[in-house]
Amino acid sequence: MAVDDEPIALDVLCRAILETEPDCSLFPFTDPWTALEEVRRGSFYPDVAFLDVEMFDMTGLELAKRLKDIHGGVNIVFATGYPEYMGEAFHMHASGYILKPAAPENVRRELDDLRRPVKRQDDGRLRVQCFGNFEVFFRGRPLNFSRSKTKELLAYLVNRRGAVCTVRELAAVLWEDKPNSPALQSHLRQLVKDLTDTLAAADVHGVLLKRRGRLAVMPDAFSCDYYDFIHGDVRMVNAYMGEYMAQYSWAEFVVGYLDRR
Amino acid sequence: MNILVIDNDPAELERLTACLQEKGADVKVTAFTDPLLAVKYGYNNPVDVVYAKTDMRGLGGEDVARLLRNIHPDIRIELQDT
Repeated sequence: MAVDDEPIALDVLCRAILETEPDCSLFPFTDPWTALEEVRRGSFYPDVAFLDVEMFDMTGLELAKRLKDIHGGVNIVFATGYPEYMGEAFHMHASGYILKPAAPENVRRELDDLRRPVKRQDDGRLRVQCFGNFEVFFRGRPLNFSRSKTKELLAYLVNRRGAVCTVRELAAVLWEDKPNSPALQSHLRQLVKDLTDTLAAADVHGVLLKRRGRLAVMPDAFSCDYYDFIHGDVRMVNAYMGEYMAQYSWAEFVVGYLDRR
Repeated sequence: MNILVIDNDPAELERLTACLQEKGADVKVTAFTDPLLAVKYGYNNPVDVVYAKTDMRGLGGEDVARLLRNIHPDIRIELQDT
């Protein structure tokens, strides 16, 4: 991501980044608050954040701190016209810095020397994010779900970690206030079709396992922060901030006496 | 002694925490309803004993045990089946 409240400077920065890393997914912002909100919402995962230091509404340092509160492992590269004014605080948070106006060779230098090297996530797989909001990415961009219920269906299947789910179970979870009925089951079948179509349209394959009246995900077909956590990946363990699939009430861990099944 | 307690039910958690805390002044009890946060805690802090349920939302007791044994090989795990 790149943030600079001056549009021209942002343009220069973006050009420099794209010239040296043409295959990256770049998310530019002139407004730091919007940038923060998009990250918080999980619109994308910022492997590297190029931040202008001297911004009016929120300084680059403040933005860096707030970004790191969301994702501890973000690589911060400050862009500044006055490196001599960057005190200890900047160096504490930053992977590095570049001078303004941004030049491709300096961007390259920083990308080759990141504090937290980016594991090439271009292993071609779908990337599923369960921590924070449930989000799904493919090739750096969010997967486009035409229906929110379809996304919720996938979330539940991911949550079950490959366990096979019956149509009955899925209907009960997705429409918890409605008693089971043929109409509901038919509705669910439509969702399953929508999910299959959504994945196919994005050229994603092998994620779903379908049997008569049963559905599951294939855990090896996609990368997932939750699964990496379960495998003991230290980065994922430390990246967890206490929020799991925050949009869905069925994902809530806390139970009360009356909830116990 | 550092004790980690995990239970999705806050009332149960409180009860068990209070019960364990009574065992002595040198007993430090850290409690979580969220097993993932408990594991994160265990990855970054000393833990001697874990009390948890086998079946938990988020992560089951067996998985918690396995993950924490990576960090604390001599850890004692007490799992309860509900």
